[in-house]
Amino acid sequence: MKTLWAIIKKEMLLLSRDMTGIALLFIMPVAMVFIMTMLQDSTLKALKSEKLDVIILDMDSSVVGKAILAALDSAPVFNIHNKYSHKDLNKKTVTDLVKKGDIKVGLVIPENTTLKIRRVITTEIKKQMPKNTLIPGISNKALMKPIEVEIYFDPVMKASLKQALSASIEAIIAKVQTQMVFKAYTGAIQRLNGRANDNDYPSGQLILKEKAVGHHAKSRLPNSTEHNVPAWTIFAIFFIVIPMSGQMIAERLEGPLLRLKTMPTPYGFHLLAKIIVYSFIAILQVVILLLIGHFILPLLKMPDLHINHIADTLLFTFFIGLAAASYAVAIGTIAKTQQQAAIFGSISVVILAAIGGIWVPTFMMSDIMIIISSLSPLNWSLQGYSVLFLQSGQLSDIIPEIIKLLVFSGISLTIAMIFEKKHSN
Amino acid sequence: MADALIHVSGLNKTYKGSNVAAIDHLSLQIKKRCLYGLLGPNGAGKTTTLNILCGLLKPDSGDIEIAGYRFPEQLSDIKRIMGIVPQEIALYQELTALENLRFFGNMYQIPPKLLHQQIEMYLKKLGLFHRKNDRIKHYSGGMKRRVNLIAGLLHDPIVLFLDEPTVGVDVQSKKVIIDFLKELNESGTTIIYTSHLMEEAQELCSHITIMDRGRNIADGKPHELISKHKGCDNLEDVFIKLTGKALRDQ
Repeated sequence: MKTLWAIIKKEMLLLSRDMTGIALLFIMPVAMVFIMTMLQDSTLKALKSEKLDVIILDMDSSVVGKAILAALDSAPVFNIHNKYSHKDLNKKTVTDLVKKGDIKVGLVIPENTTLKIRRVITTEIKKQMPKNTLIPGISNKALMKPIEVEIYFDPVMKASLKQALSASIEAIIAKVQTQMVFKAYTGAIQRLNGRANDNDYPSGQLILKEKAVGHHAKSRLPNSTEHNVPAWTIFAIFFIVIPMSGQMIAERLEGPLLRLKTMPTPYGFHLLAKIIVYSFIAILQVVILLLIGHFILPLLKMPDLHINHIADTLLFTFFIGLAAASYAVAIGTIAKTQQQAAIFGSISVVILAAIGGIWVPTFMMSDIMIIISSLSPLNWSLQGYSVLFLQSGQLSDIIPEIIKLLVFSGISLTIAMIFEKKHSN
Repeated sequence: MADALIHVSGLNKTYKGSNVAAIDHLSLQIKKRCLYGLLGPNGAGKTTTLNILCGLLKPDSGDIEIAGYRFPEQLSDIKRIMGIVPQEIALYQELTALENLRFFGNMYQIPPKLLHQQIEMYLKKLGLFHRKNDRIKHYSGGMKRRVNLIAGLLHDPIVLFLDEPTVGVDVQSKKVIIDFLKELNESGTTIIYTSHLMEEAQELCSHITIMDRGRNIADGKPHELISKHKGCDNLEDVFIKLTGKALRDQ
């Protein structure tokens, strides 16, 4: 135990004198968290609460026009512009506003839309009813020409939003039509039966209930702090590959390793001490970055990071540190020079970070990239933190992620052992 | 040889990817308290022999016994009784001399009080005590060599392996090191030493083996080797006569 402590002390002394290493482990992730959180804040906010500016020219001013106006006004994704009075608006002004880009969508509801729909309906009902059934207010002349509700789009608008708007308007018109059909039919039937009841169309029979599915009911999309603090912490943890493998190679090239191998203390002890030290460095990194996320980012008007289970978070971080340190041991054993280790180490971590969802969250990735990202240990780490931070999960909820990280550590250390054996032959 | 501390017989080693044997049927008998010189041109197999004896390399075949311990079965026991001073400065450049020596002493599990005394004694003896808190990277070549030497001695080894301990040092440092090695040997430590410096070896060693192409080509006390070869006035003449004048590292 004393020997292990002596090695740990030596590793800590060496690290404390490696200013570049310290900058890489602590200053770089702090800077990344600040920069990336601020950069992504507006994007993620937009993603969560983007509103579409819509201007409506309601020339119908009756049931259909009012229903469309009311429905779009109550929908969270549309922002109905009221600053232009009805008198100022015409088709040209609407198209001009969209052309200029001031408004994303212009909607023109033609004159007598309600009346025309009503005529079509009553004509159709009349065909179904016995001859001479009196249906008041209906002309015998059916309108065959379809009614055109015109929608003017800004061409740069997202296709998904266009579809959402078109679908909403179609749904509103369909609902109004259904209500009209119901009223017309019930009116005709009541007249045939000689009864007069004012029945309304029964609505509210089918309700859509939205529920997020996750380990816990609190599951949700991350805000910029909730994504960036864990993401860049993981990136920083894996960046221990650079100082740690660099030190291992310096130890080999400068000679201390040669001396260590002639000593009675097994070499595995030295590796174990390194892994312990760097796993605790990982915990220290997490503590610093979580404190920044919780206390400092809110001061800069960034979202707050809620820490739910601190002990579970730190324990999970230990497993991430273990995986990163084992990977560093593998690189430090395989690489022949510090330059090789630095280049391979940094590039491999950057690639694993890119595919692992550190830069761009996985929920914004394509399906194929989501599959690829599941191969990265940085992704397993991020998934684990997501459960802990966003879903109020506990360590027991992220057992699969922990197992994956342990397997990754085991594979890395086995590769290191094979290469180490090769060196001594 | 009943009083031999190290027995080596039929030792062979060929590096992977090489057609030439680095060690070719080498046999050595090294007596207790001997200051044994292992000499040879570049590529003769001196460092390979030392690395095998220290357990850093595995031989292809051959028998080794050090102080009654069989190699490789009792390697951990062998490691406890031997010290090594490699050709490289095997120290942490970012640590001070004191931190380096404490760390290496702890690897031998030397009790803290004894370790403190050993470090202080050796630092004083080799003229480094006043610089003990300076980082190794700020030391001169000679100072680094002296700390390198101390690091191999802290656990009082029975046998000390030295690979070119005076290479690249000034005359003053060299003298301090040579005098110290003599004193160490007189106090009972067996020293196995490799060098290219014939004059130094002639002055220092009680027994010499000249190696070439992995083989033991001459063996004996320095004056015996000189008198045995006609026309040779010193060890360098013997060396040239036996190994030739052709360059070995072209």
